[in-house]
Amino acid sequence: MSGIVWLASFPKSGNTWFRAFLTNLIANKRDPADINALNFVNFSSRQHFDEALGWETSDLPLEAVNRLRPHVQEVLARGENVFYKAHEAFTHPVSGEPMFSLGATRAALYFIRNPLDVAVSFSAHIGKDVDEAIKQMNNRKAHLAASGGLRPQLAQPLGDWSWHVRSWVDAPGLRVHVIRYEDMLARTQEVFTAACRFAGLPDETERVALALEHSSFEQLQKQEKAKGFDEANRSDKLFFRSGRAGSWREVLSPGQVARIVDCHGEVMRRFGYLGPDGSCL
Amino acid sequence: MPSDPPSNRYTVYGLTVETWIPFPELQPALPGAAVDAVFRLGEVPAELADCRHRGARFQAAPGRLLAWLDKIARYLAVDGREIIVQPEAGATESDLRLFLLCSPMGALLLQRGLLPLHASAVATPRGAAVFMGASGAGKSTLAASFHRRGFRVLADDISVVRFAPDGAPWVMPGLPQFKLWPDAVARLGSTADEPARLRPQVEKRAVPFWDRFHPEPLPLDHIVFLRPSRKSEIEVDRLSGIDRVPPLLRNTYRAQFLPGLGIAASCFESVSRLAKSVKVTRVSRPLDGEQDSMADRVAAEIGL
Repeated sequence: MSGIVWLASFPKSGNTWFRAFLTNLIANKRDPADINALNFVNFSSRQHFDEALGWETSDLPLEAVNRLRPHVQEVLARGENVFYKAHEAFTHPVSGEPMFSLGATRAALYFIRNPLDVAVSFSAHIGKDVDEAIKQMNNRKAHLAASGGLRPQLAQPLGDWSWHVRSWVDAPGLRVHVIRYEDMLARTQEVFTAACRFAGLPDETERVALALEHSSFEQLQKQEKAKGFDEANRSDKLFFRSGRAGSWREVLSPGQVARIVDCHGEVMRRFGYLGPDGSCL
Repeated sequence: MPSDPPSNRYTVYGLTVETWIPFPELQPALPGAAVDAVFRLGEVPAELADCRHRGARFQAAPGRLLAWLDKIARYLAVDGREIIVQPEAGATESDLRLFLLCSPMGALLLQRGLLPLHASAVATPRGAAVFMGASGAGKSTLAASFHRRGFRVLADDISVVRFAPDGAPWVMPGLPQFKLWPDAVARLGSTADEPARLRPQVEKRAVPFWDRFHPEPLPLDHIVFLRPSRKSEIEVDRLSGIDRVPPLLRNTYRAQFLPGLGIAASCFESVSRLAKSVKVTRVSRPLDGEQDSMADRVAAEIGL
């Protein structure tokens, strides 16, 4: 099957866990895959992008690079079973221009996680306090990798958290399967198997179970502690940090919770993170 | 006899090129040098009829590479002999030159059987040290810190390797200009003037180094393969034998053009030849690392 399957998410929402699972599922080996050789790289890897483009994006302004994204995707989509990780919003949060080519896309798996937990995890990832993490999650103009000179990744427009979610799950014409991080934890085998079926991947019970064992949180963290994780930020003490749901209850102040709920209540309610009475679930 | 109109002739990567407009960033050619390649205006097709491989903004066919950028130009590199340029309305001469010296130039060098590496090269008492790596790996910044320490520089961004009749690899001089990001300019300390932007719409700066340009070829002594890393420490390991081949292939400048140009096999041969005869050290550079300690470490590794 040709066309790209996107592994899409706001950062810290289960994407890397799924990539580790997928790497192990495809390899189907007796031993766990090396976390520093995970497949399904970020679409915004500058090296991959430049290679498909034939020019260097570092010579082009950001707007020109964004307009080239769909053309580069059409080149990458020619392969068989192509998966890419993506953190950018589906449509540009400010200009509204498409960031993804529907013609180059087969489907998307969209990973969503309670934004209250995302705030805690995102804060550790970017090495800033929780207030700063919330500020970014509430900022329509938020980007990843946008500052500090020439980065190995292209700048990725995120939008605020709700924009990000809606841009993917409500994108007209996009075949998308939404996966809640909390369900990945609670009903692991069932949720991962359904994702495999949706994406046309092997879904035999034992094969999925083995890949899950090789990509369990304990396994990922054990490898990270032993040899480090190349994809971690310097600010991450551990990239695979806690791997559970609900840690916001121990970390966030009522004011911080309110700032997230005020901004994202509607999308939180839609995905079961907010009860009918407005209580956080 | 009427004399020829004044021409623009320059020397770059060991070639004498004749151009349709002045290229002030290039070194003038010696009088009487035979012209190896011509850059000229002309009509460039929108498609290559016998295209074998197409990217988002290039098409490659045996002997020909078409590459284009919206609102700049279409370029056609033909048989290693000429680059034809069809500018788009409103494109500036400085953009036409800048982009010609990237992908079209890379294609022309590959077509001539040369081995261009994505690398900067500095002159050391032991020969040329070549800092190789992808965009963002830190090769220009590292070469610029060596320049600041008094070393002469052969090339930034593209370093061309040519084998002498005895089989030894030599590095050809390129053009005396660094392309640096403002953070790199700042980390290198103050220069006399604030360097000009490479293009008004991008942050990258053009920093010429005519003062310490090394305009002659040098034997290649050592390749330092730079990899950005998110770790906090610099990591170094010496690559041996077969392990040298993948990074050299991956960092051959515009290697993605090779299959379509039909010269992948001969380029692979050059890479294997180079891998047998040169030291290659892999250095993982912390993304936010301090520049001086990086230059110290690399200098120590290459025996300076």
